[in-house]
Amino acid sequence: MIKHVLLLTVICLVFGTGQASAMDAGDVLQAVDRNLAPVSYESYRKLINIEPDGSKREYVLYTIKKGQDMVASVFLEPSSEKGRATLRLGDNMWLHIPSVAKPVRITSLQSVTGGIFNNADIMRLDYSVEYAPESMEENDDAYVLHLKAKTNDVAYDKLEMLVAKDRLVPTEIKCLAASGMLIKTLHFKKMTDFGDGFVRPAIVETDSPLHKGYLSVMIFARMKARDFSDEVFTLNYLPRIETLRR
Amino acid sequence: MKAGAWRGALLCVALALVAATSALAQDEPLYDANFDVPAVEEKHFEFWGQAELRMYERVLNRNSAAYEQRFFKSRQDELQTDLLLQLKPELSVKYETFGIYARPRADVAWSQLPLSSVSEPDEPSERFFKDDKHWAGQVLLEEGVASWRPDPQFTLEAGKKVLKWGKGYAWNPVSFASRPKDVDDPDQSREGYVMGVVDAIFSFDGPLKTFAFTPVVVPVWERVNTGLATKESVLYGGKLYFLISDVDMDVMAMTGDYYDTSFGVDFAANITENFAIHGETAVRLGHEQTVFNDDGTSSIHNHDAWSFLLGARYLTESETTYLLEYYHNGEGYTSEQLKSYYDYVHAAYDTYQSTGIATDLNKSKQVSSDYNKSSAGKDYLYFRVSQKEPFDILYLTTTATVIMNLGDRSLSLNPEASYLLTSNLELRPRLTLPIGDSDTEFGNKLNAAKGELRCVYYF
Repeated sequence: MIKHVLLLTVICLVFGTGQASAMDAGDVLQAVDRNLAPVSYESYRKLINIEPDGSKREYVLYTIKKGQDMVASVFLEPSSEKGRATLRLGDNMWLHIPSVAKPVRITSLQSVTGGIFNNADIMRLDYSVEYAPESMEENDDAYVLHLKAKTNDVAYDKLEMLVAKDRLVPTEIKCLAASGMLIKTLHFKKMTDFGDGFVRPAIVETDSPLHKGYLSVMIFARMKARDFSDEVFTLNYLPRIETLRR
Repeated sequence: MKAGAWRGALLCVALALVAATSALAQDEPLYDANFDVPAVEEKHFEFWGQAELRMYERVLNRNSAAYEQRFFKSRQDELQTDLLLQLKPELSVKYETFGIYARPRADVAWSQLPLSSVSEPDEPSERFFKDDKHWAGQVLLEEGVASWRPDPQFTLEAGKKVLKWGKGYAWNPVSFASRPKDVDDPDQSREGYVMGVVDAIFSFDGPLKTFAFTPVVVPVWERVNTGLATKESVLYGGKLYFLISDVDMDVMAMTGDYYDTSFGVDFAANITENFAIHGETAVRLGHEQTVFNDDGTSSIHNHDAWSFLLGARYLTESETTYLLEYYHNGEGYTSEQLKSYYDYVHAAYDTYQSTGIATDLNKSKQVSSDYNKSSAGKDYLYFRVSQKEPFDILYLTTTATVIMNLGDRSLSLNPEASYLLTSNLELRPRLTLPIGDSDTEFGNKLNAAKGELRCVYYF
């Protein structure tokens, strides 16, 4: 725990100073990943789907992540979704629906909640795991990273990431198809101290030209570094993820 | 002040109010950015669940074997109504490494048809009807499990549990200690069996990422797990799970006195990001199958029943999911055996109509629980197309399913929809249309058509 905090503090101090100007695209991307989340952590998220008429649906998830490619989430609310759990191991994703059947394989393109969020958004790995920088532009207060998916299994072929120079966190990410068509835009808001000096945007708003008038919001809470054993990220353990809450 | 001035002043005030209201409305945030995390401390005990009202309207197939067997003495109207109210609360108690989970179920049903569990019904929900009554009710425990998890690697569970073995969506031949799924509604929760289960999980670096060992002990007593074995016995089984090179694989076995020793293997893997395949195979040694003969007698055919299933799931960019499964049921009847049985029932019904003698019909009823049950045939195709949010209608999913008996080419066509009206209220309209000739499986279902509306409230 203390090691993670020290590491984050060092990263923030190093990358959050004038030395940032000497960074290349890969360094910026690595810093963004660490400033958005510890390598291994637990967090709570509220997802809100807002429709053009203003009506809303809300979901609450408990999420755990370990290392480069292990993520698991379980829905806590509403009752209709309670216990629905997802597991991601690299490119493999599974969905477990309580009282129905064994976990089934799902894809990153699908959405377990409906709305603009898909499974890749909900079970996101580090950006540097799935994307490689193609180029980077720089202005007075931001970097613009152009990222390309490393494989065809990634939900979006390209990302355009606007990164604030002062804190090295994204302020906006455009998700693009291979054709260059804009699929969705993520807006990062409300810098929040999650404790232990870990500061990141608590809100990610997502809109899409494919779903005009719709807005999806992800609000983060209680994100903190926590280590888990590998056995937690298995199909057998998936129905029991919620028991890890404390 | 003149009246005109008053009016002008009032108009200004009104406009200012409208403008202020409009401004306030514009400033009102779209959502509450404050997020209170559900307190873990308060979650030692949790209670949630669902209440469901199902309304059926059915058109009887009065030329079917199922109808002729059940209602030869009392002709029924072609159009029939059914109602089912189902309450399914779920309770969870957690304390440190211990936990208890329970899912009881209460059913109250009314059917315009006089129903009885003597003959195998079309829907599992009818199974608690008795003595040709129109009303029925039951309370049961679907699942009730106590668990101990001293470590993420180890879990011990005891109680009534649904053991979910197998990768198939509609059928699971390797699910040796579970009640079969309702092929018309595979997502429905089921009643479990009483058992003891250990789950030991091991993770590794390298091609073999996960290995898990799940031994089970299943007792069969006078009122416990009835039907799983032919007499009182203790069944022993287990499952080995491997996640190796991104492929899920299980090897399972079950044995015991008065139980057909069974072995099985299943697998699931992604070929591409949006294309997955799965399969399972099982052998049931010394399976005794009741076969109905042309002369109205029945005999026992003892054989090793080999079943297998192969399936594929494909997802398009527009969130259309195609699911295809082929199932060979080693415990099923050939199309010739089913045809022979249906022909016998039809002839027996004609005999009753002309002579009033029901002897042959009663003979056929002796094996109706084997021949009339769901998936009684040998070879099936299951094809399901599901479209999420068609026409950009959020929270709506439309699905069409075809279940075909490949032996006699009869099929059931099931279009359905699911719409979450609110976060906690779901509507599920559905139509079931069995299609087939008078000597085929689906041509002999009790219903020529069945429409249903399910209203599910989650609490």
